[in-house]
Amino acid sequence: MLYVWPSYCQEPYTEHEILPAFKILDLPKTWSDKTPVYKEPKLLFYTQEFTYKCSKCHVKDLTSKPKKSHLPFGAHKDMLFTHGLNLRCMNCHNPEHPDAFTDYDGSVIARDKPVFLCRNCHGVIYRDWRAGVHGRINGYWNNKLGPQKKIECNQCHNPHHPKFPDLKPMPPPVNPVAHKYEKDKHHE
Amino acid sequence: MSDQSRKEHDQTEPASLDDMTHEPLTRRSFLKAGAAAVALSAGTAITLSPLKDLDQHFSVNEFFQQHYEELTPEMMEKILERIKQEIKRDYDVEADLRDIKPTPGVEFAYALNLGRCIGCRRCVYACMDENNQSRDPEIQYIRVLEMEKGSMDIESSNHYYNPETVPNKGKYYMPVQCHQCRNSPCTKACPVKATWRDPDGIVVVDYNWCIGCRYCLAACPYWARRFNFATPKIASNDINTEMAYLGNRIRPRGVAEKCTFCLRRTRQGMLPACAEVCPTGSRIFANILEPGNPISYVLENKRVYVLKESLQTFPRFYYFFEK
Repeated sequence: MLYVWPSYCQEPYTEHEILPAFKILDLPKTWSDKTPVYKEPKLLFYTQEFTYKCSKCHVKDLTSKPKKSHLPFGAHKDMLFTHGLNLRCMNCHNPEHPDAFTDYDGSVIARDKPVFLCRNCHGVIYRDWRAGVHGRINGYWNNKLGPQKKIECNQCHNPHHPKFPDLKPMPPPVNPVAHKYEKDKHHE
Repeated sequence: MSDQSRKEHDQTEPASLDDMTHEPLTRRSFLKAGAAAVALSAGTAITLSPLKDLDQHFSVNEFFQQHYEELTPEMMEKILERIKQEIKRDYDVEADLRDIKPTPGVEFAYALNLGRCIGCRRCVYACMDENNQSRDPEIQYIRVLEMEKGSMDIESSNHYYNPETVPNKGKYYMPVQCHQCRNSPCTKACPVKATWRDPDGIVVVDYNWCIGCRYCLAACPYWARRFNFATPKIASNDINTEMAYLGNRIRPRGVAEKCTFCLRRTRQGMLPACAEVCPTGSRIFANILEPGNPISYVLENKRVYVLKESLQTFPRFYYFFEK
């Protein structure tokens, strides 16, 4: 389900813009899995949805429709909205500032601080995350020796479709019984 | 020679030692002796010929190596140099081998979220890459058990599962590795003290001291120890060249090995490879002596499950799930 945006609408965030604080550490060369989780091909979050600035089309605010619809099939049709029953965009997006999130009282939450938005509903998980118990942590356990990199909510979860796709498991260990059987068959 | 003539002979010349002990050297006796000497030397050479290949598998310095606790820094330096040369000879890689000591004031612990693990086995392969296990025969430290939901019966679990995608419906996953017990049966079983608990809680093996009796494999209730039945086979580009003496250096044949919480990484402040690679973030590693560490949070706030708690091994490895 790869949706190709028209080139005139395309102005992706550069990595520098969107990930100032999120830079993932360079992984050691000996790991089998060299890709950070969110960059796996099934997670379309960064490749597809959030590489565009909302303010490109919604010039004034989010509630007013853009003057021209550049998209042939209507906007946002490529997204999956399965985040509970929460289908009201303005629960999270700030209507007045297209590139920011909204708090309970309508004040602005910066776009690179999604934790402050998500914790409004997911308080228990926020507490776990803050204690270092929820989510993947990279780097050093000892802060004195090196940096520890915690990743934030929307680096793993697609906020519109939070459930992860199922993964393909790595191959199972060699079963010695089956292995022996295969060997014997081979000898006969 | 008649008796009379012999008497005359004795009287005329004093008897030499040669005459009294040996027969006079004839052509026959010369050839006999020569053939015997040739046969003896050839036989010795054939008998001793295996010794020529011996230094590939055996070195005098290794034979006379002291126990790890008695090694001085200079002796250790020589040992590391020797092992580096052996690795260079056998696997054709330049190893950065070090003996990394535990830091005072550090005790490690591990927690694993059973509710989040999806059984993708990423940890198993990250561990193999970090710790230089043998690829053929295959040695893996972590076994991921596929368990029925609502059951804690390990006997009915399956670790050879291989579906298209995980998690399977109605199953949950429990990775098992070395629990680094505080009361460890494996170290008690060792007859030569080749394995012991270090002050930071990691149970280590000195592969040069291990005699390969496999008592520790039998003693471990978590099936955490592995034995090198054959010389490890690893492609040289798969080898992790950063090695630790008690940790992930390439093992010789005939010794026991085990998970060391990625000693090479964790004693230098890094997280273990399995914890870093986990895509669900279900693996948590910390120094439990540090205030406000995640493991203490887990023990205080979550439902914690200790595998085979009744055996009183007091593991440093905790399973937990949400309240």
